[in-house]
Amino acid sequence: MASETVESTAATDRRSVTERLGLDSEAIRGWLTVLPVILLYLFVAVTPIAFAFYASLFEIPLLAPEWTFTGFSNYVEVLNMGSFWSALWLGGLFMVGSTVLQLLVGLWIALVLNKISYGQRFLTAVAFTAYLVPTVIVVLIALFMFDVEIGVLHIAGSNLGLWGERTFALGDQTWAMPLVVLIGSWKFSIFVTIFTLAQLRAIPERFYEAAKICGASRWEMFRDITLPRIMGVLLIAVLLRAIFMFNKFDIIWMLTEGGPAGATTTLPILAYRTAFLENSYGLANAMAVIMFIFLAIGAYCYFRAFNPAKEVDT
Amino acid sequence: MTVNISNMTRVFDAPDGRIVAVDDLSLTIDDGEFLTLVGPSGCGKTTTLRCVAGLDTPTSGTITVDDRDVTNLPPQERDVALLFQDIALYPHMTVRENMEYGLKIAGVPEDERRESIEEAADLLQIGDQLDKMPASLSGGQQQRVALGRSLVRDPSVFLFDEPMSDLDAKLKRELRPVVQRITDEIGCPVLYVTHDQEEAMTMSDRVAIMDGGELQQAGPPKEVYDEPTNDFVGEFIGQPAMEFFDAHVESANGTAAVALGGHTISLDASADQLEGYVDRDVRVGVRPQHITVADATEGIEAEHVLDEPLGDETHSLFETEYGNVTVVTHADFDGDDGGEYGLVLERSETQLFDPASGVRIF
Amino acid sequence: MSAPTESEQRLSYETRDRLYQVALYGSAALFTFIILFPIYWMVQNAFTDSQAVITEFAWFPSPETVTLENFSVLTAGAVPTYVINTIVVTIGTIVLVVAVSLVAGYGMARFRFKYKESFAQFLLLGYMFSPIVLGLPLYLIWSETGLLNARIGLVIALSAISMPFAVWLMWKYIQTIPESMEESAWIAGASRWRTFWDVVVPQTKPAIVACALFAFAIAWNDFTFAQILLPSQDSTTFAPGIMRLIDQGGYTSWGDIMAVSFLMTIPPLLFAYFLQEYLLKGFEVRTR
Repeated sequence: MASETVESTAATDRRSVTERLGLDSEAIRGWLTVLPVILLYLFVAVTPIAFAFYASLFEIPLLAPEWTFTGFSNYVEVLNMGSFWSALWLGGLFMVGSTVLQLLVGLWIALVLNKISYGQRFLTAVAFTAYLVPTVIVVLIALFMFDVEIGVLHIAGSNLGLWGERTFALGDQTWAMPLVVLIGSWKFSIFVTIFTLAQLRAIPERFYEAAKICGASRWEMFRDITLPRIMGVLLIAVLLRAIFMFNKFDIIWMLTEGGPAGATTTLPILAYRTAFLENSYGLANAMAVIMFIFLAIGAYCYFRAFNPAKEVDT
Repeated sequence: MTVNISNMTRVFDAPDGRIVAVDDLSLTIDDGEFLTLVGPSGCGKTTTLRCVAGLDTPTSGTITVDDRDVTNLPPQERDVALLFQDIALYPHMTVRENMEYGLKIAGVPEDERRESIEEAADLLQIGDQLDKMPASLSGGQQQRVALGRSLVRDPSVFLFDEPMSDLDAKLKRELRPVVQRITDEIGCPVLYVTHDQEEAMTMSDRVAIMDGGELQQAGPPKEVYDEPTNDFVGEFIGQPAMEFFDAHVESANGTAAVALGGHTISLDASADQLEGYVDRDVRVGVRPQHITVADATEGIEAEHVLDEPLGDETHSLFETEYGNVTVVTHADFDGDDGGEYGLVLERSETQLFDPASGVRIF
Repeated sequence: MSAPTESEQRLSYETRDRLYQVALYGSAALFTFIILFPIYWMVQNAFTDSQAVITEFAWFPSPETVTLENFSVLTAGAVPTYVINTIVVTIGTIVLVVAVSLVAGYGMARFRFKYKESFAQFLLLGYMFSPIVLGLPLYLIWSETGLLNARIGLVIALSAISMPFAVWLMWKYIQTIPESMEESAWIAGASRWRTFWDVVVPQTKPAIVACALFAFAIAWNDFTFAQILLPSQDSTTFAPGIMRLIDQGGYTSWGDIMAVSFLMTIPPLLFAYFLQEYLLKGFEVRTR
C-alpha cells in the first residue's frame, strides 16, 4: 500500500510538470499564432488612437511640427466651432439618408435576386460588380456623367428642369448632398444585398412549401417566414452601414471635397481639412478622438445588440 | 510487441469540476492479439485509445510498448496506426497519395512506396481505385483505403476508434473479415474500440469492458459472456440484454435456492457456497434465451405486451412485477395481447449478483 | 401595401402570378440597368475618340469614333506609376492578409488558450476601425517611422483593417475541418508544421480565396489611407493620384480617364462573375 502511494505521488508529480508545461506550451503556441494580428492592431489601431488623444492635447502646426501643450483647449475650440456642429448635422443627415436608402434598395435587390430563376448568376455578378468597383471609379464616372459640357446625367437633369444648363449639380448647394447620398448608395446598397442574400438562401425551401400548403399568400410568406429569418442580419447590416457611413471620407471628398461652401462637409471631411489644409494637426486629432468616441458608442451598441461573444465559443 | 497499460488515470478539467475519464486502468495487449475495448459512450474507452496513440497524455500511470516507456512521447514517435471513426482520408489527395503519405513522411523511396501500395491495394481489392479522389468512393471503399493507409506503414501497434459505427449493418459484416485479415497480416497488438458488443464478440481474441472509466472485465468473448464479473457486464454483453429480478436467497437442507415471484428456484449450489447471502436479497440475472414462456400457473406472472418476429426466432415482451421482460421465444410464438402467462427461468442458467455492488456471486 | 393585396385577391391566381413575375423581372431589369448603365457609359467612352467624347454626345458607339487611342494613357505620364503602385500594394496586402490570417485562424481553431474569447471580441472591434480616424494620427507616426510615402506602410495599414474579417473567416473555416485528419498525419509521423502545410492549408483553399478577395476589395478600393499615407505625388496609388491630377486641372480628357477606369474595373468584373460563390460564403461568415 505504502509503495503504491509513493509510486502514484511520483506519477502525479511528473504529470503535473508536463501538464503545466504542456498547457503552457499550447497556450504559448496559441498566442504566437495570433501575435502578428495583435502587432498589426497595436501598430495600426491602438497606437494611433492613443497617439491621437495625446496629440489632441497640443497645438501642432503640421508644417513646422513644434508641439505646444494646450491641455483640453482643442476640445473646447472644437465644441465652440460652428463648422463642427454643422458638420455633425450634415454627417448625421448623410448617415441616415444613406443607411435608409441602402437598406431599402439593398433588401429589394436581395429579394429579387433570391426569387428569380433566370439569369441569377449573371445578376448576382452584376450586384457584386457594384460592390467591387473601386470608389474612385464610381466617382470618376459620376464626375463624367455630371460634367456640365457632356455629362449624360447633367443633361438629363437640366432637361427635367432639376438644375440649370450651366450648373454643375455636384457643386450646387441644394443638390450636392442628395447626389452624394445617391452615388454612395449605388455602390454600397449591394453590401446590404450580399449580407441578406446569404441568409435568404439558407432558408429551407420546405418552410415555403409548408406555408403554401396552408394557403399563405406571397406577402404572408414574406412577413411570416422571410422577414423574421433575416431580421437579425438586417439589423447588423443597418448598424454597420450607419457606422461606416458616419465615418465615410473617400466618396465625399473625391466628389465634392466637402463643398460647395461646406454643403457636404461631414465630420471626417472637416477633420481632414483641419489637419492638412488648415495646418492644425492637434485640433484635427481632437476631432478624430471625438469620432472615435462615436465609433466606440456604435461598437458598444453592436456588442450589446448582437452579443458576438455568443458566437465566440461555438 | 506488447502494449502494457498500467495504473493509467486520465482526469479532465471541466468548467464544473474534474472529470475522471479513465480510472486506474491496467491492461496488457500481447503481440498479435486483437483486444476490443467496449463500453457505453463516455466510459473512457476512446480516451484510453488516444493515450495509447499519443494524442492524449495520461494524468498518471504508464504506457509501455515492449520495454519502451511511451507515456509522454508525441504521436509522431510512437509508430502506431489509427483508424478514425470519421475515416479522415485527406480529401485533397488521391487514394494513392493518401496511402503514400505516411511512407513519404518516413522517407521511403518512391518505387518501394509504389510497390507496397499496390500490394496493399490488391489485398484490399481497391487496386483499380488508386487514382480516384476519396470523395468519389463509397463508404466501404473509403474504409478499405483507410485500412490500406495503415497497412502499408506496418505499424507496431494498430488502433481502431469505432471505425464502423457510421456504416450500415451489411457493410459492417462485409468489412469485419477484411479488418481481421489485415490485422493478422501485420501481426501486431490490436486495440479496437467500439460501443457495439456484437462487433466486440465477433472479432476479438479478448474483450475488455469498461464503464465509468473503470475496467469491469477482460477475457475471451465466450468467457465474458458466460461468466460476467458483474451485472453491468452481464447486461452489456449479449443480445437481447440480460434480464434481472430481485430475489431472496434461502437455504433448504443445505442447498441454496432463490425465492422470487412467489416460488423458489433451487440452485446447483450448496448453501455454503453462498456464504453470507443466505436470507438476504440478491439480483437474479437470466439471459432472455433462457427464459421459457409457460401457463399462468407456473413461474413469474406476466402479461404479454407484444411480439417482434425476427424470422428465426421471436422476441416477446412481457410486463411483470419486475418491469418489462424480454423473452426469446420460438419463431412461431404468437402471444395473446394482454394474455396472462408465466415465465420460467432455466435453473442452470441463473446467475446471482450482489444487489449493492453488482458483483456476480454465483 | 394593403391595397394591392386586396385587389390581388380579387384577381385570378394566374393573373396574380403573372403580375408577380412582371414585378420580379421588371425589378431585376431595373436594377441591372441602374448598375450597368454607368459601367456601359464608361466602357463606351473608353473606346471613343477623346475629342468626340467632349463634342458629340452619343448613346451608342459609332464606327467613325471608335478607337483604342485612349489606352495610350497607360504608356505615358504619371498614370502608369499609379496603377503599378496600386497593383503592388494590393498584392502585398493580399499576401500579408492571407498569411497572417491563416496562421492566426489555425491557432484559434486548434490551440486552447486563455482569453481566446476576449481576443475574438477584440478582433471584432476591428470592424469599427475607420481609415479616417486611424489615418490622421498615423500620418505623423508613419512619418516618424519612415513609413510615410512607402508602399509597405500602406500595405500594413490596409492589412490591419482587413484582419477582423479574414481571421474570423479562417477560424470558422478551419473549425469545420475534422481534427482527426491532422491527428492521422501526426500518427503517420508528420510534424505539426508539416501537417499544417500538407493537410490543413490545401483544405482551406476556399477560405483563402475568400480572404484574398476581400483583401483585394479593400486594397483596390482604398482612397483614404493612400491619400493620407502616400502624400507624395510620385509614390501614390491610382485613386489619390488621379484625383490630384484632375484637381490640378492637368487632366480633363474624359476619354483617357474612362479608358484607365475601365482597365481598373476589369479585375473586379472578372472576380464578381467567376468567384461569386466565395464572396457569398465569405459574407455568410461575416454576418455571424
